[in-house]
Formats: sequence, structure tokens, C-alpha cells
Amino acid sequence: MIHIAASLMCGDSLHIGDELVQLEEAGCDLLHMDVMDGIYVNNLALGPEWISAVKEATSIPLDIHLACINPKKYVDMYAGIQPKYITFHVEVTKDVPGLIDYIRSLGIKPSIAINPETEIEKILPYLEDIDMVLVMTVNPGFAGQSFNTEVINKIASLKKAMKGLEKPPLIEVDGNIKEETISLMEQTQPDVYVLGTSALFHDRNGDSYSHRIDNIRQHIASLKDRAAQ
Amino acid sequence: MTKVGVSILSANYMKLGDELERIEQSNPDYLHIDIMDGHFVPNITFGPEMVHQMNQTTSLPLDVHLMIEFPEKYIKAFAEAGAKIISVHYEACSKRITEIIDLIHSCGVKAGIVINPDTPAERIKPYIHKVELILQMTVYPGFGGQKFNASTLGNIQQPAHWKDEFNLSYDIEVDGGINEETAPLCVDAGVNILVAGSFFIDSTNKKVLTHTLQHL
Repeated sequence: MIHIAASLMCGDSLHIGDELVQLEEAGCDLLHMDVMDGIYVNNLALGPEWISAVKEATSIPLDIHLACINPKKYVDMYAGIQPKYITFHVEVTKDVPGLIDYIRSLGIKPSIAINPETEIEKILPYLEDIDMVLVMTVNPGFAGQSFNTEVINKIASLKKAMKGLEKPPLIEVDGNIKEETISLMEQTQPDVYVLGTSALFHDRNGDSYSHRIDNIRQHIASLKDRAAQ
Repeated sequence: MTKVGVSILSANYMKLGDELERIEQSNPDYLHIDIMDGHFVPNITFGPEMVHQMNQTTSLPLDVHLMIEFPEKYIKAFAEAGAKIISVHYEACSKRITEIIDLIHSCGVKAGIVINPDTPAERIKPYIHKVELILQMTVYPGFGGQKFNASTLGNIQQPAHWKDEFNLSYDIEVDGGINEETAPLCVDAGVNILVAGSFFIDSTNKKVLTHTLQHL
């Protein structure tokens, strides 16, 4: 199944209520929320009050990505909102299994993020315990960056490592995801596609989110058909 | 006359565009924006991109208060986003504060120093001749809707006194639990900018509220 996650940080922050209505109509599966602490990444974003207001306003499940040091502190800040997923970075977590268990104990699905330069070996020991892996295809911090093509091999290796797992985690990709970069992943398609400025929120010119998301879904489906042949 | 900054900390984020319009219609002097990183204070808000979007939509001057561990990293970004004043916490950068004030000025923006309720005003005396604003927090920063800490009034009197003593012209601002009871106390102590948060957002007659505070 193809999951589409809209990166809400790239939306129109002055009219988020309207954006959510349109994303619901467009059949968006998840809302991807980037939380940035200004220290792990060079940007600041999306506080708990803001995300809580989003939760109240929509039925689309929330996928919170903590681009923060001391992730447990931020898990505590956001757990009360009860998102569907909380993702933390393996690069800055001392006790990865502990944090996985902690997130799950709060009724939330744990997910781990890896940056482009992080080897997948760092997360292989945890694949059976998590619900999702977020493979960053750019270095986190800002919208509008270029897709890192070396990540494609990583996704292939991850899929290989997950063969034989009873409940393999979903593979999510975030960073300049659009038709052209999705085509690059033809042979090893992920499960969850985070759409930001490149695919969804750039100049609308009257184009709807429904139309843009449908196009992406069709594109992915046609690549899957081709890869299966 | 007293100036009023409206804080969007407790605003309806789902309709921020409408909220900004309502705020502007009540004629305050500033839009007060709290930037938090979850490290310096136990909460996180937003970054330069959202400040830029707000600046595109409002003509109110942006009074940006950085409650973050490394304010120097973000001065340029917030200046470019449209901040007219950038205030940094003494507690976050006391050893680097002169350089940071210079950096803010080099971006063509006014500079402010902020002190928490338990920081003696004496600590910032060495810098008062360099800044355009002194912000006394009247609650511990992090969350809207908190109760005013009256012990801060004693602290406020010092920069008020130094203003006369050294013939300086900085503004003295307060933020935290400001309402119809606490605002007059602050103005009497020497404050000339009041930040109104929940008090304003929850009010059913925002124009009257702003006017009343401006004429204290």
C-alpha cells in the first residue's frame, strides 16, 4: 500500500485550517510534522500547541519527526497529543531500545530516522521493534534541498535486511520527494512518501492537493507495475 | 503613552491569518513573537519561516523574543524574516551578549535584553547603554496563561531609575500575566511597553482593551 504524508511545515501557516480541509479531501494518509530544536538541525519548528491544534482540527493521523537532541524530552512534550507515530534520530539517542519501548508504552508507534550519511547498520538491531524507518533523502532542517541519490542503495539494503521479518517496519522517505526523484527509486520503492514543497505546496496556480496527490499515486503505481514486469 | 505588544502565543494557530487581522484592527504597537527551542525553555514554538509569513501579512512591527540556547545562530535569519526588534536572554548568552547585541545591530534591527524573574537587574547594567529595549519577564517563560510574579516589580524599578540617572532612552517591556490589574502596577514601576497575551486573545473587546492599556 502507498502512504502519502503531507509535510505540514511547508504549508500556508496562516491558513492551516483550510490546508487541512483540502488535504483531507485529497485523501492524504498522514500529516508529517517536523519538530526542530535549533540545535540538532539549524532551524526551529512546530511546537506542541501548534500540533495539538492540528490534531483537534483534523482526522488525518499525525507522524511527528523529532529532529532534536535529547529526544526523550521531546517525546514527553508531544506524547499527550497522541500522534500515530513518533520518530527520533538514531544519531543522537543513547538508549535506542529504551526509547522505543518508552514510546510504545505511551500508545504511540515508534519510528527511527537516519540521515543520508548514517549507515543502516546503526538501526538493523531494532527493525523488529519499530513500526517505521524514516530514511532522510536530504539532511534535515530546510525545505527545498536536493535529493541524495546515494540513499537509494540504502533503501535496497534495508529491504533486504527486512526480508523474513514477520512484521517489517514501513520505510518512509522525506526530502525533495517528487515525480522525478520517485522515479529514481523505481527498483526499491518505499512505503511512505513525505510530500513537501517540491510535490505539494509549491505555487498552486489553481492546482488542487487532490490532483497533485492523485498524480503522485498514479506515478508510483505505474513504476511498481514496471518494476514487477 | 504606553505601548502595547500583542503576543500570538495563545492565538488560534489554525486561523493565524484571521487572528493577525483581528490583532491589527485593535491598533497595538507591536506583534510580540515568542521563539522557543525546547532547550532554553521547556516548550518549542516556531522558526524564521513562520515569522517571515507573518511579516508578509501584517504591517505591525515584529518584536521577536528569542528563548533559545544559541541565539547568535538565528539573529540573521530572524532579521531577514522581518523582525524590527530582536531580544535575547541574558541567561542564555551572558558571556557573548555584547557580540550578539552588535550582531543584531549590524542586521539593522533594534536589540533587547531579557531577564527572567530570578535574575537581578544588576546583571544587565553593563549593557544598558547598548540596547534599545529591556524586557523583564514577569513569569518564567515557556507558556501562556501564567500568573504575574509581583516580585519582579522591584527589579523593574532599577532600569527605570538608570534611564534617568544615565539619560538613556531604552524601552522597558514586561511579558507574563499582564492584565487590567497588573498592567498599572508595571506602568507605575517605569514600564512603557506591555505585552498582552491571553488577556488580549480571550477579550471580547480587543480595541477597547488595547486603548485602555495604551492610556495607562
